[in-house]
Parts: sequence; structure tokens; C-alpha cells
Amino acid sequence: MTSRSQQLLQNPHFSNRRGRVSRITWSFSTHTLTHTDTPSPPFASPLTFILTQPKLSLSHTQTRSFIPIAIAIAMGGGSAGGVIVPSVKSEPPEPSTTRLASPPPPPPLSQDPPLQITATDTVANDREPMDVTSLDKDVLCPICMQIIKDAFLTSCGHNFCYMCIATHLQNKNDCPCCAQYLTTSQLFPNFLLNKMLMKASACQIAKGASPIEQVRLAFQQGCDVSLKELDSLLNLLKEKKRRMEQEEAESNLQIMHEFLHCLRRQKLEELNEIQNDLQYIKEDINAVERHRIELHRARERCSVKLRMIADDFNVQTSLMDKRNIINIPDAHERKDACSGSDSQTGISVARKRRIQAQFNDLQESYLQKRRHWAKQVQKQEERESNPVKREGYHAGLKDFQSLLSTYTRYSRLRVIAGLRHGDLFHSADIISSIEFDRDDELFATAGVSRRIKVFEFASVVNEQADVQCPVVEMSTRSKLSCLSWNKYTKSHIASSDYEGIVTVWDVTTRQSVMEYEEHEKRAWSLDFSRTDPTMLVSGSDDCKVKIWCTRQEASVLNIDMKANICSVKYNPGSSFHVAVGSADHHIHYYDLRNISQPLHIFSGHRKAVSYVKFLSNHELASASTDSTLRLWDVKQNIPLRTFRGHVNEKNFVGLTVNSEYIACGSETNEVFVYHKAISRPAAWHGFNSDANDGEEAGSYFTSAVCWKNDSPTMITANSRGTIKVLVLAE
Amino acid sequence: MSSPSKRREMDLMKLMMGDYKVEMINDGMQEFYVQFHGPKDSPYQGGVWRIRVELPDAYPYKSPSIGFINKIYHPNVDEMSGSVCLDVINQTWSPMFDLVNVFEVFLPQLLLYPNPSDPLNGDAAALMMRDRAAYDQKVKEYCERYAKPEDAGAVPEEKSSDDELSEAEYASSDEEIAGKADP
Repeated sequence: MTSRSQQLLQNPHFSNRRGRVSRITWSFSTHTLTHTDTPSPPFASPLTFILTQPKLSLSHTQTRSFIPIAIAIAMGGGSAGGVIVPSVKSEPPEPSTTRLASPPPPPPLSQDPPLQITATDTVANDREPMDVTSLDKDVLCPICMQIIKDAFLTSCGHNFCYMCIATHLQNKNDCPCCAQYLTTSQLFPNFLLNKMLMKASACQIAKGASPIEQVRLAFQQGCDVSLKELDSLLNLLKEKKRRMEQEEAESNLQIMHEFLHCLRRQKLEELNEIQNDLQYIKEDINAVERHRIELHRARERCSVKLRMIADDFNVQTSLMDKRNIINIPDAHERKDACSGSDSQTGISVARKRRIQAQFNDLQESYLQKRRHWAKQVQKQEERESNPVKREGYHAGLKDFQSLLSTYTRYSRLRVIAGLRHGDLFHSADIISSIEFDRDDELFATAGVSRRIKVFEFASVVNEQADVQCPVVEMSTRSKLSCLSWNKYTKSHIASSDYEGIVTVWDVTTRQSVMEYEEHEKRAWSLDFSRTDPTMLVSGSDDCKVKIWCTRQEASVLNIDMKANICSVKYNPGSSFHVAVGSADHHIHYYDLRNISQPLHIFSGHRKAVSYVKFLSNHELASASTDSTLRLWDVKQNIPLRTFRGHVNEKNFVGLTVNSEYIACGSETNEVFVYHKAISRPAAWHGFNSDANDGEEAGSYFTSAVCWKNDSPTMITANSRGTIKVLVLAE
Repeated sequence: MSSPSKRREMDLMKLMMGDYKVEMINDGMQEFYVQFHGPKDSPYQGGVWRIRVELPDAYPYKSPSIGFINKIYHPNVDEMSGSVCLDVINQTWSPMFDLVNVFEVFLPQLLLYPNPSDPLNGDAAALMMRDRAAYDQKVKEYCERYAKPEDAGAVPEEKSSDDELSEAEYASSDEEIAGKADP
């Protein structure tokens, strides 16, 4: 098709020539469509002018696609003279033929509830949004599902919007309805259909439009209205507009008013809170100063007494020793008390620096404790109704005092002993677990070397031999992942291995006492209960948590979960509460009396939870391969803190807790110690720094750590097999 | 073109009204998931598949791309990716079809009468030509294993929990690292 004719065809020839009938001449040879405006009797039979076309065409002796035009266009009327016009039934041809074996009718439009179609596209869309389903479904274009615009008919007898069928024919030369071969030369305008559809759509718009729209339309089209009516309408509109503007102004003011009130309320609350905090701080400063003065006075008295004794002594012995008398601090008590004595400045400076570094965390801790205790004391006072003047520190301050002193007490870790675990020829000997026994006298190690080795702690620390011998060594069938000593029977220790077998050993006889073989895949973790020493819990890659009793071989309870279990731990204060760390990033806290669903699921970690350990009956610490540790309160079911500083993206690096500190390993071959109230590390130690036997740094990571109960001593082991005993120091 | 997005909206609306579980991927109305049940009287009966439909920009002039999220054994469906052979769709596509057609007619037709002349799954095509009974059997097996309702309804991300065995790294490392002699 030539571009010129294409252009012409695209020209909307169905313009607003209302009330007129255009004479259109169609030339087959050049495929041009020309039309001229001719005033014509309004009710000229639509066929009359059409009949001119065939006459023209006959002169050009091109009969291609001649008959179909006649068929199509004559559908409105009955027989007419002239050219061969087969009589066509009045209903338009159904687009019911399809190409598939089981022909479906067109989509069941009739069963749809009325759809509201809104005009969301703004690109040159001059079609009004309308409710199309209330019309006859047949007037919809099968391609765009709208009322056909610029109706064109195909040689096979189907109608489409011009744009729809033209776009389709750019891709494929067939009729969308019946798949007959079709090209743009076989498209013909369907004037009658178009006219009828336009009338119908105009009616539709008129019916559906709101009264305002109708009025507007009426005015646009020019209707008779007197000046007086116009005036009154204008006045009405003005009045309406004024009223609406007023309402809008009012509502804006209202909004502003409410906002300002809200803001003021909020700021007042904040002010109140800050004032309370300042009050607490003031009270505490006074209390601390009073205490300092008391201490100073006590020291004074003490030194005076000593001086008197010394004086007597000196008088008895000689006068020359007066110089050796203890120096009394200077006159001003207060001043001294505030400035502190010289011998302590070095340590104080370091401590002060550390406090500054973690000021925010400490501040938050202080305020939280103080506020909490203030409420508690207030409640108590209300109950007792005769307030006793509190001597000494407020409970909250005492709490914070202990935190501050423990935090600032230690700044680093010091190695006090070390021993080589593995063979000299195997440079990788990952120790997966170290645990102290019931009395903290022995500790056991286990790992991929398939051996449980028990050492005496005292001898390791005191005897600085290069190679330490374990007091007990037991070989196992497969690699071990976790150990747990029995909290009651000193010589029993349980181990979990890579085949899923849980074994309880007696270290005195070096034999296994019980073997539990129910897990189908590698068991990662196990734990003896503290309150009921016959019970132990284990978790495995087969997504099961099993509870065992030392008196029977079959498991007592089985919990099926959805993801691999990396860690299990009993709550030290209860025989029924178990925390389960899972690969689904959550910690499931179960009450064993009802295992159908967990008591709570702690979410927050971004990757699998590798360890869970309890600091106390209500505090739970967890480690994960997202390089964070998190602290949770299992009584209130809230997260408390997140600890960051170490690196853990892949491996089990070890986690151990005591009542104040949390320690974990790191993939940088270091050990990190966190205080439970401060989210940045309190101390850390790198194993590369004391590579005194030519170890190569690099790909090693700390694989297990264990505190010696509540002392500042801990044992660590890394993937090389090196075990070190560290202690927190100034 | 007067209203491309209206057509899309309408089709989507019709699909949702027609009792199909539709899940949009984003608000652009370009891609979504639909739950599809195997046609009756075919070996695929009883299977439930999650189908990803992507409407190209030129929709409805261009056919939508269809992909099966959970596995299906069919000569015209790639077993690994689940995408249906585009030619097969294109040949039969017409702008008159809409999404309901696809799920009510086209897909069942495809499953009932595969087109072995243009296979994406050569095995399936060959088996179908050779031994129809064995082919039916294998289809049923696949349905049993991969086309359970939870396979079609489950969110794909959950399956990754099986891959959290990163902790397993150190298990094999001791075998791989050779013994280093003492300096």
C-alpha cells in the first residue's frame, strides 16, 4: 500500500460533518479515497451514494474486492438496484469462527458484572470513558474491547477499529477472528456502522453525564436562555463558589490548628522527659558526691589513726623516720575528693576514654535503668504510704554503677596459656566445641579430628609445657559437632556427630553409655538440661529437634520444623523451655509441654542463626552468619540489643556467655568480647599477633570459645587446632 | 492506538472474575502469576501449576509469554525453565484472544494435544511418539512429584532455606587442605 493512500486512510474522514452526507469516491487503481462535501437531502438512502462507487469502478475493470464492499455496506438495507448486491441478513456477521478445534464463543462478556473503565491513558484519546457492557456486545471491537471507532470491515466480513486492525496487520496478515488471509488492501470503511455507533455513543454519553455536564454541553451547543436567567445562574454560581472557598479555608485552618496542638503536646512530653532525666542525674550526682566525701573522710580517719600509731612508734624508735610517714592528703577534703589521688590517674584516663567512646550506649543504659527503677520505687512508695528517706544510692543508680564498673574494668584480653591440639602435619583441625565440666575443673574439646580430648584446666594454665597431654582421649566414629557435659553427673559428657548420632560418654571408663540414633542427617548441636540432668535436647540438619532421656533409647519428644536446626539450648532455669536457632533466620522458643507451636519466634537476624545461649533465665543471646549477635528477653519477648564488630559470614565461629559478658569468634581469626549492655566490643584479641610458632595467618577462623563460668577467663580454639586460654585484663 | 492499557486492564479483570487465582508481580500489569489446573481427561489431570504470564508492550498484538514455575513434563515446555515454546503460542495467537482464552482454551489444548514437531523437551516429544502409555505414566509421575497444590501456591523464596548449608563449608575443608610441613 502506498504511503499516500495510507495517509489518506488514516485521515479521519469521519469528521464532524453532522447532518451532511459526503460523497466519497474510491479509486481502486490508486487506492485513493477522496470525498467531497455535498449537501444532500437528509434522508437520502445510504445506498444511493454508495452505488456511485461501483459504477466508477466498473469503468476501471477492476473487480477485485468489489463484491465484498457491496455485501458489507448493504447490510443496512434490503435490495437495491444497480450492482449485484446479494441480500444480507440484518444482523451483522458474528465473529464466531475460530481456529481451534473446540470453538469457544467470544469471551463471556455477557456474564461479567458491569465493569467501570476509566480513562487512564492520556495520549490522544478522544474517547469518553463509558460503561460498555450495557451496550450490545457486538459493537465492541474484538481487539481493544471498546466501541468500534472508525469502523472498517474486512473482506471476510469482520469489523474492527481502523487503528486496531491496521496495527495488527503490521504484525500478521490475517483476520483476528477467522484467520483468513488479510491485508490492508482488503479493508474497507463501514460508514453505516460507524454512523450508528457514533449516535449510540453520543446517547450513552448524554445518558451517563451528570447534570453539570449536560448543562455544559447544552451551552456549548448553544441553547436559548434569557439574560435574566443567565444573571440568576451567574449569581447562583458565585454564591456557591464563595461558600466553597470559605469551607476550604476553614478546613485548612482546622488542619493547621490540630497539627500545632499535636506538635506542642509532643514537645511538652519530651521536655517533661528530659526534665525528669535531669532530675535523676542531679539526685545521682549529689548522692555520688556525698558518697565520695564519706569515703574520703573514712580514708582520712584511717590515715590519721595510722599516723598516730606511727607517731607513737616513731617516738619510740627515732625521729628520722618521720619522712616515711604516710603522706596525708592536703587540706581541702572536697577538692581532693574531687580530683582524686595521683596514683590512679593513668587508669582513670584510659577508663574515661573508653566511657567517652561508648557514651551513647552507656547513656541509654543509664536512663533506661533509672527510669525503670524510678517507676518501681514509686509504686513501692505508693503501696507503703510512708516514704522512708532513702540513704545511699537510688536502686537504678546502683544498677548502673555495677554496669559501669564491669564495663570499664577490662580493656583487653591477655593470653595466659596455649596448647596445640592437632598433629603437626595436619594444618586444619577445626575444633567445633569446647566445654567446661560441672565444676570448671576439666574441659573437653571435640572437632573434625574425631576425638574427644579432656584436659585439666589447672595443669594447662600452670604448667607451660609446649605439648599438653589430655587426661582422657576418646575416639569416635565420625566428626563431632558439639559437646555438652552433664550438669549433675560429673563424668558424663554428650556429643553429637556428623552422622546424626548422639552419644553419652563416661570419661572415667572411656566408654559410651548411651547412643541415640534417630537423626537422619548431621546433628549440629545438643545440650543437657541444667534443672533435669537426665534430659538432653539435640537439633539436626533433618529439621528435627529431639528430646532424649538418659534412661531410654528412644526419643521422648520430637519437634518437626521447616528448616535446618543449627543450635539448641535449654533455659537454665526450667526443664521445659528450649531455644532453637534455625536456618530460617529465626529463634524458636518452645515450651516442651506444648510443642504444636512455639511460645515465641524471635526474628531479626538476616541469615541463619548459628548459636543460641542463655545468659540467665530471661536473657538469651544468639549469633548468626549476618555478623551480628543479638540479645533477647524471653520473658517479655522483646529484642534487647544488637552487637556488631566481628566478622561472621559463613562458618560456625563459636559463642559463649556468662552473666555479664558475651564472647564470640570471628572469621578474622580473632575473639571478640562484648558487655551485654554495650553494643560495641569491649575487648578483642587476634590470634595472628602471637604467632610464635610460625603459624600462617589468613584463612583461619576462631571456631569455638568457652567462658570459665563467671570468671573473666575463657578458652578459645581456632580452625588450625590451636587452643588458647585468655583472661580479661585492664 | 487508542487504549492499550484498557485492553490489558479488562483482560486482567476478566481473568480475576473468572475464578482464577491471580497474583500481580508489580503494579505495572506486565507480569503476574496464575494458578492453573490440569485439564480433565488428560494425564495432567489433578496437577496444579503456577504459571507466570508476561504481557509484552505490544499486547494484544503480540502473544503473552507463558512459563510454568513448577515442573511439568510436556514436549513444548522446557523442563528447566518452564517456558512454553513461543512459536506454538504465536502461531495460534490472535488479538481477539484474551487471557481467559489462554487459560480456558489454549493451555488445555496444548496439554491435551502437544505439538511434537517443534519440541522444547526432546525427550518428552520422543517418548510421546514412541510409547504413548509410558509418556502418560511419566506425566503422571511428574504431576505427583512437582504439581501438588502446595508447589503451586508456595512462594518461591522458601525453597532457598535448603541452601543455608553454608555452615557446611568447614566439613570438607580438612580433606582438601594438604598437610603443611613444619617450617
